[in-house]
Amino acid sequence: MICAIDFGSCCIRSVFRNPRTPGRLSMYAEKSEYALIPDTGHHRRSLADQQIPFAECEGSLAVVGNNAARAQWLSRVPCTPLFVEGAVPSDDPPARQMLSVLTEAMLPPVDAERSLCVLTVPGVPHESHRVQNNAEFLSRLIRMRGYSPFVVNPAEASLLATCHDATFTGISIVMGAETTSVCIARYGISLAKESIAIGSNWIDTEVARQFQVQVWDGDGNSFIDLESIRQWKQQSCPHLRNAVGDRERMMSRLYVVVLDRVTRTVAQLLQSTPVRNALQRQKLAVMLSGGATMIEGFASLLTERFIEHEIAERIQSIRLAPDPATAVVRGALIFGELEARALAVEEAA
Amino acid sequence: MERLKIVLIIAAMVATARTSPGQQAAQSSSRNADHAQPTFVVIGDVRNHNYFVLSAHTRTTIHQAVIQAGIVGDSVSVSVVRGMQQRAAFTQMVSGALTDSGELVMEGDILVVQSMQPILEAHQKNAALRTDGGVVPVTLADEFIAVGDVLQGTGGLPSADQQVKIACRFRGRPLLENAALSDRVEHGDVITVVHSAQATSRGFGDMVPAFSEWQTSEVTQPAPAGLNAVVNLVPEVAPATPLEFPVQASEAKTLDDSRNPFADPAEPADDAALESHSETEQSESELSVRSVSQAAVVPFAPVENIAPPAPVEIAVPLEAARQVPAASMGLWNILFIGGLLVAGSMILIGSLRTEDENLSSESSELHYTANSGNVVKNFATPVSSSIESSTVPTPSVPEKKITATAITAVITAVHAKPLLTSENLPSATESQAWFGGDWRSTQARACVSSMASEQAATCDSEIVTAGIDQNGKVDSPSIYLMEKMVVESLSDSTSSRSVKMTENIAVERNAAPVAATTKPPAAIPAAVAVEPAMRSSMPIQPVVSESVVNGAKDLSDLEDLLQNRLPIDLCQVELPLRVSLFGRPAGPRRLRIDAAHSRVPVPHMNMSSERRRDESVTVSAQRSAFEMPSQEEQAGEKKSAATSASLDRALHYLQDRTDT
Repeated sequence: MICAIDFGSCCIRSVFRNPRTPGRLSMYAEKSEYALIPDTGHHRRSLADQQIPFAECEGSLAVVGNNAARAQWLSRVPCTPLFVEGAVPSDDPPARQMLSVLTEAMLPPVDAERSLCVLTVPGVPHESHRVQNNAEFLSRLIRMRGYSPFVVNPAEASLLATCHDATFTGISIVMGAETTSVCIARYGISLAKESIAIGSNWIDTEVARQFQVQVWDGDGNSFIDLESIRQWKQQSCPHLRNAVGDRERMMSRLYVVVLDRVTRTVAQLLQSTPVRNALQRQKLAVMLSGGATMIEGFASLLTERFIEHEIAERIQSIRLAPDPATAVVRGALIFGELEARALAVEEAA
Repeated sequence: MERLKIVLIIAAMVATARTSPGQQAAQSSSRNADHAQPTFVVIGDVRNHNYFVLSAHTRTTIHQAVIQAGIVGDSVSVSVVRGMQQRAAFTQMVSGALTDSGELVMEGDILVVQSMQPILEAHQKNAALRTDGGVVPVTLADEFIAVGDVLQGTGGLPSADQQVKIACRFRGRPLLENAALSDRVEHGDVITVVHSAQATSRGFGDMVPAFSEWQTSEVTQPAPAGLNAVVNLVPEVAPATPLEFPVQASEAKTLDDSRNPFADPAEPADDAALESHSETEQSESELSVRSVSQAAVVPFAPVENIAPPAPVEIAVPLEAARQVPAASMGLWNILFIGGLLVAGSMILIGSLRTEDENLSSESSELHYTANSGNVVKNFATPVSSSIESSTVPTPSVPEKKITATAITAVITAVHAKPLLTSENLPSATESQAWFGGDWRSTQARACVSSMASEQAATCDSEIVTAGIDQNGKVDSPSIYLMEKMVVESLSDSTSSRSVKMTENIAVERNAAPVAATTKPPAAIPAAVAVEPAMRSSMPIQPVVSESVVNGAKDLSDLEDLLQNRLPIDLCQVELPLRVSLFGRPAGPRRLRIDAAHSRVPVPHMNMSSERRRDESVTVSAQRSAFEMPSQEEQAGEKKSAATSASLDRALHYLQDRTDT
């Protein structure tokens, strides 16, 4: 069995080939957040009546994953992300146990002696030991399920999933909720890659702070209401190049800030020695994926940034992946299948 | 030999004969019946919004296509709507000064051109209608053209299970996810008619993702073809089939209905310009339809926006097709027909066989008689064709051995996937040789075994060349794995990586021990096992055939995964209904921006002096904001409040008295 799981800061997805449905892929997708609900008899009864799975924690009940949105009306506290700033929380033991529960539920049972699971780890790899601990923690969860973990960079995985028509050569940019990954590859082999600790959550947070989009719980604590910002983006379909209203203009400016950093990173990677040696002045296709790239005008704005930073001459095209949200996990599955073949050959030899 | 010379002369005449435009049209119409030309559409701020034919031999870039259509202004922004995607795939800047980026136009693309500067030149407003049957460029002849007008004029209104949306517009205009028939069509709009089910399950087959980062089910359908591959210029699906709209009988077709792709392309076209899509049925004449009643469709529209009662012409312009002269029978046509008649009659008579042909026909007869008893009589037509393909590469093998290999050919035909050789690769992904077998040529193997760092580029080129199939297409997983193996072998050139690669066939055999044990070696025909010349060209060996077929299937699955052709089923995660966790959850502390006030100061109703108000505020602010007071403290506070209140009243009285 070969499967892939993408531990995203906004959503956790796993995909695998189901032997019962050949020719199709099976996917699990759960939001990486949980809702806290007061531990009272009424709340327990409400959750039980609606068949909502919940966890009993110390002093409260927790509803994890997609069910958190169903149970949030029982509490005025906004949902808590399982990955705080793109990392496994060290001060939230129930969150780590919820990750274990989700991982166990989202991975299929192992049917072979040697099963491989390719995973992506949120956060910036070389930033601190915390992210290394993340990788170790999540890999341990995979091992507990019976799989051999294999960590892959999200941008590399997305490149395998989306750049087949460019012979796996180009620039892959994955902009997620907390992290943006950039990878330059030639024939599927990564030449240079970089991760930036910035994503769409930062933009949403800044917009919410600026326009005081808040929510209060029953005790009067004030929280940033990121959920309403996301719903606003979904419903109003703002365009980054044609912003209407203060909020859209603010968001467009924030995207410019983020894309400036991304463009600088791309420029640095293009100047790196492996890229210069392997690709010289070859024009490269840019493939975008990740949930934050689905906003209208993203590619156009990035084109403008490339022109601004004088690297547009190295770019052949900027394209949005046909499945921006699932490209990473699908690429991770491709990675797993390729690695499984290579491992089988090596072991047999 | 003289007769052969005559045939060669006639063949040369036939090959050099130019067909007249009339013949081109006839050929194109007949070709359209079988196989439509791949086309794309350019609309927007261009002088010639129209179909354009994608040549199968030359690549057309977006820059070339837009320049060819005639841009209005100095620089334009081109939005490319590709495949069945619901939005513009990407945007590119095009101007005469900029260099061509090399981005290719694909079949079925819609290039929406928008000028970046104010347009001073007068040009016709236009839009595009995209349906399951193809793309239609539409000329907006009036100021107010509604979506219903376009649909009515191009074939009919959508049925109940179809949905109309405006998927791509000029910048600054909102997209219409569910457009009404009364909505106005703007210049440069791309109107899309999709089935409702298709609109909700784009790109995932029967699966709709429950959510995404945006809590939407926005998953676009994968692009139908790759971007840079040459083979993608060859259409996989015949475009421009008639739309399935219910055509209303009240709409009388004019003589120009053949330009409508939704109409019956019965009338042949006059002629075809080389670069314009005049060879297809969409562009062979002009469509003229009457608009639907605007007052009925738009009951609340302002008076000035209602279209005049005069008919609105939604024309598909093809000036090039109109300007082409009629067909004329020239000298070349007469020679062409005469040559064909002579050649056909001579072929029918059968007197043109050369000695070599006679010999080959005799050998083929022998071949047929040799195989017919074993194979052809026992298998259906596909089996015989497979056998032919397997025996074609062995012309030098004596007839006796070919007869002996007939049984092997039978086994090959049953598996329907012959073992692939280096010169006979039906598809790179189907070839087990790339992964399980020794996929490298001897030159490449030698190159890898003695590879130095400066020889990497040469080896890469050889390996990539080896991964090209018959169509000239480089296989995707082959590229990945080959490059990976090369890099690894470069990293440790002294390791046994090359040995592993050369022993891949042995590994593959070991991977199927059951087949090796169940199949006795004696079952292998002697001709296949002994003859060294046959080993490379013989398609299969019975021992490894099963694993080869399985490997080919796996590779086919991997190619499907790479091409995003596999539908995804979104499954429900089965979480335990109740689980106990240890510890206290942290909660959304990161999102908290302000802590709650533990106690609201009591109102001071009887305070009039500023001094006293300041004192009371000071007293309330000095309290801890996060600690609830105990009962004793509350009692003490009440007592002190009562005391301070009486004291305040006394002080207030004294102050007023002093003031007076």
